[in-house]
Amino acid sequence: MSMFFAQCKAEFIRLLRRKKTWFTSLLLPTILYFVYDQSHGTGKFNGADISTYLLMAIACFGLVMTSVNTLSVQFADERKQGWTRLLKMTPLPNSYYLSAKIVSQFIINLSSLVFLFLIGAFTQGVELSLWQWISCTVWILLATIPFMTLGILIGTIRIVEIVQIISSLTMMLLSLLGGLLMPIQTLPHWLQKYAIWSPTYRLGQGAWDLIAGHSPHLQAVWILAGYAIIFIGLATFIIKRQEAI
Amino acid sequence: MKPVIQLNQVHKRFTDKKVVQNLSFEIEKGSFVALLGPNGAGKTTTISMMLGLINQTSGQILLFGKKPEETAVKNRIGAMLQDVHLIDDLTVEELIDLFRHYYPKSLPLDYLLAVSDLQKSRKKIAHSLSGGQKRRLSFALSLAGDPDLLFLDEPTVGMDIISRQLFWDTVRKLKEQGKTIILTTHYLEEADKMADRIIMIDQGKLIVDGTPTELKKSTLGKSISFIVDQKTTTQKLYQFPGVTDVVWEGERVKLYSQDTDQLIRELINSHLKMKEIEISNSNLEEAFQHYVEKAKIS
Ligand SMILES: Nc1ncnc2c1ncn2[C@@H]1O[C@H](COP(=O)(O)OP(=O)(O)OP(=O)(O)O)[C@@H](O)[C@H]1O
Ligand SMILES: [Mg+2]
Repeated sequence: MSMFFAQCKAEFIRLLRRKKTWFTSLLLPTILYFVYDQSHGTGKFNGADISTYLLMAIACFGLVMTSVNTLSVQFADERKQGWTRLLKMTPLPNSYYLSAKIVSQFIINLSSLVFLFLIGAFTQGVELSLWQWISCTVWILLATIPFMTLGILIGTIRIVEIVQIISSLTMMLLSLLGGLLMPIQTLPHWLQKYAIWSPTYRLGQGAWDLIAGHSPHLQAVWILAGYAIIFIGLATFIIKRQEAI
Repeated sequence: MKPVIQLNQVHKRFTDKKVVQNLSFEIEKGSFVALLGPNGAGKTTTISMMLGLINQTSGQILLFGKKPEETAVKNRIGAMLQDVHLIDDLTVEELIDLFRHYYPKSLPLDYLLAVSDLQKSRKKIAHSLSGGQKRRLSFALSLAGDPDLLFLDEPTVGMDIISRQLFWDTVRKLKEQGKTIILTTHYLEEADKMADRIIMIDQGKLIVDGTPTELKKSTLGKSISFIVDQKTTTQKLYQFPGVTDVVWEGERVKLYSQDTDQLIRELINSHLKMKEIEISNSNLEEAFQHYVEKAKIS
């Protein structure tokens, strides 16, 4: 256990030392939220206050963007640099290496979320019950896990530059499709049918349900869990094949 | 007792290239083996297979009687790989400490910093170290788990003289503690000084296996070389007692003899006009060349 803890600590320190982490998890979502909130004025949407609705959308968007980007690029880079090769020689299990990355990203995500929620509550006048704040935090954090596994899957392409482009592009498209950047209702009808199956939509939907006063659909949980299993399964398969040289 | 390393008819092919062919040997506990061979001979590939980093195409490799990928084996080995790859954004001491946590028993951080002479750089980010310092850090990492079996793949490349001295002092102590050590190097005097067994490979095949002394017997022996005026004939040089061979390299001539002490006396007494005299013991370098060439012919 102390091995796993040490690995998590090392990964966490590394994340904290990178300027990019601070920029993408704190600065970027905050700016985005201010811009969005200014341009949408006040009112109600989907049974919730617009500012609150946007806060959740931007929180989800910020978290999935950083999670996928950081994990995919880090993983690809560390394999290219031969760091994982060095680790393979040690008794550290490969699963520890990957889950330590997920755990540290999880902590960063939590901080990012708390920060953004505080901004929402204190500067944009978002009002939620304590239970809603907590349940939204927990939901968004947990529902981001499939995206972390997606990051690892994308990272199996070992060329860092390509990984960077693919992860940004994938997340941009998924966020648009899932209604994190604009409501899903603005998409063409035929596309909406598919959009409701996207992990991004299910992530956002859960949070919007919570602010509207009901609990997330059970279906969302299954769909997100399904994605997580598919992504990690695929990634494991690819890694195994790549290493069988 | 079981040997620490057993290789049994190991083959390795990369797509269609045969890199290791039919390699078999056993290494006993406590031995210091130098794995020598020209560039591309397959040394790093062989070590990578022993470390479980790549799989052999066929044949069997056992470390401590077990497969290399087993955790019980990994707990007991350490290695300095040929290419150093360090993670970014961690300091020297954080990195060493992280590695210490990977192993059930580990050596103290201060000891590891001392043997790699990195005490002063302990707070530095590992990535910002110089090439030689990175090599030393990689040595510290290889020792983190107090390994019983240590692989050193060209460990001293890029190290300055002082670091090299400290490095070999440490390795010598490890050998005295009964650790098994496998070394590859192109500095043959290192192998000569440290190893009690030499395994030479070329093009993936074993060409010779023996002690340094045994290997050196194959060479022409000790020699004296000097610059002499061109009028001196080869014939005349052969007349000195004990001379077995005379080789010219431009103005410089090299006389081989089993007893160079006697020969130098005779040469001085003969009033031959010699300049820049060099006396050398038969060295591993010549043995190396001898065996590699012999392998090419056959
Ligand atoms: N991943 C790989 N794919 C294809 N060929 C490879 C691979 N790794 C090594 N080789 C080839 O295998 C041969 C042996 O390489 P290896 O690195 O084992 O040599 P070496 O004895 O360590 O040489 P050096 O003294 O230069 O370090 C070389 O011809 C090399 O090109
Ligand atoms: Mg090599």
